[in-house]
Amino acid sequence: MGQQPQPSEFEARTNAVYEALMWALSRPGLVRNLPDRGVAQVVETLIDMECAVHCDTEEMRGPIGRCGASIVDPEQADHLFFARQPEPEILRQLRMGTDLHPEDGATLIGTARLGEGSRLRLTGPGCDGPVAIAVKGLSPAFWAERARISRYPLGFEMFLIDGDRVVGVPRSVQVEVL
Amino acid sequence: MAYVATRGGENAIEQSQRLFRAEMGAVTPERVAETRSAMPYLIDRVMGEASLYEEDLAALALAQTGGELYEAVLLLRAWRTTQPRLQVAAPVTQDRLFTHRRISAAFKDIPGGQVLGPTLDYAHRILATEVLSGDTHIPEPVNPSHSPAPAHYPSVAAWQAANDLFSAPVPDTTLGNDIPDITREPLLFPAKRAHSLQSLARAETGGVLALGYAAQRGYGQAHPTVNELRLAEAEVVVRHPRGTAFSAGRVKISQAEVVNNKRDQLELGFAATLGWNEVKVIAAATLDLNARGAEKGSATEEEFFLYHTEGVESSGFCIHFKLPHYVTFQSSLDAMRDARAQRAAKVTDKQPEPAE
Repeated sequence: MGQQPQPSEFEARTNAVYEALMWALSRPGLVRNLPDRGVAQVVETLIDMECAVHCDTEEMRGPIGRCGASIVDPEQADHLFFARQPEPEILRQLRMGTDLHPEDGATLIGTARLGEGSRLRLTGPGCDGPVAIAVKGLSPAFWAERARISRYPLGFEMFLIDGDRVVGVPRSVQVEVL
Repeated sequence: MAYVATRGGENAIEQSQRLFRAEMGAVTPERVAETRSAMPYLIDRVMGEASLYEEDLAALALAQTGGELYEAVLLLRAWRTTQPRLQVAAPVTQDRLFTHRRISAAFKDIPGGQVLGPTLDYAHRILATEVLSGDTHIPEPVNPSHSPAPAHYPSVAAWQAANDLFSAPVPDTTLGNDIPDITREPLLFPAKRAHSLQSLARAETGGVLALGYAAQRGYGQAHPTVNELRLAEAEVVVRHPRGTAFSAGRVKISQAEVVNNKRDQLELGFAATLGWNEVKVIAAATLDLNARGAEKGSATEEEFFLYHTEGVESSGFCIHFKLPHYVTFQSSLDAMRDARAQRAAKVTDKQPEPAE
């Protein structure tokens, strides 16, 4: 049966964002380009009525609510959006999944400046040798806390967004602050 | 399972698919519309097994697969996975169902009375062969009754519970996204109640009947009496973003409650599915009734019947045996030849075992 269904404009847009995010997680530390600037495109791509979302600013509540998601505390959230620099303590509240269901671990989406600030070295699956990136907007204490609490396969994924650029830091990757 | 990669036969594969589709000819909107209107019970069966209530898509799937039911259900389930989830509808209770048919084989005088509705239960089964010689078979028109029957009827089980005949199940207050969903989660055992009922609802009709019938004939522990059989339409009540609850339409559903009266209280088995499919819900409710305390590995044990009535998995497993198993089969042949050679060698040189 020949004809392919045509994606709507919304589907085409969010598919492109989704592909960029998947590549970002597949190649940790490598910068990928997003179709647009900002976090709103990630909200409309990843969030739907089945999501429980936490965000640290009032402005994000509108777009998240329009996707049908419920706004919850960090402990219940499967997606967390941070416009400001998150404190290391927040990591202890994140959902890390369970041994039977590691996929229940949270996804953290933060804004950061890529290419300036602390120099990081990423190693692990998807890194072709150690990958070096510079990230401004997350403290060394944040990365130390991440390393302390991560117990693979439990953990959480991170996307760092700078304008129309994104870097993925999956739970499988070790991050050293140089 | 070691398969060889299929290579070099691309044209043969393409032509084999064309052969399959050439047999049924063009799939036209008219054919889909005719399938939908002429075969509501087949559409219902396919929609129930696909867990997707969409009559046009079900008719299209049937037309496109030439009525190969497993393929049609697989097409619909695959299509279903591509769709976004917009809302979780409000729960429906039996007494709010727009009821076309509700009968009880256990009690003659149930509250609201027996409502026969559409059925062939008491019909002569005679093939209308005159159609093949050119006549049109026009069904006799229904004589409307003087006053319309009520749309809603109370639940028979609720009436029995009120009369102390059995203890009503504890209501489950789980709502929305918290309701376990078998279309998203693996079936694990002991199964959640929601998973069991959802699995039965989307189970393959023939499989449910075979195992349910086995239980009814005596391979189960409990003999069912149909306490209530209902064909109805359920309102799909969803919520507008502004907060207003409204009905987005109605879906046909069937449900059966069967009871066992062996003990000092009635025991209840329940099943419901999308679409009107009486055989399936009675057989499924029988399995549900028999599941409690069933022996491990018996056909009335939940793990056994839920796994083996899953139509897409079972038909897929069955037909996968057609795929090339050349490597595994060659390896078994080698092992067989080797064993034979070793046996032959033992016979020819019957040397005494070396002394220890």
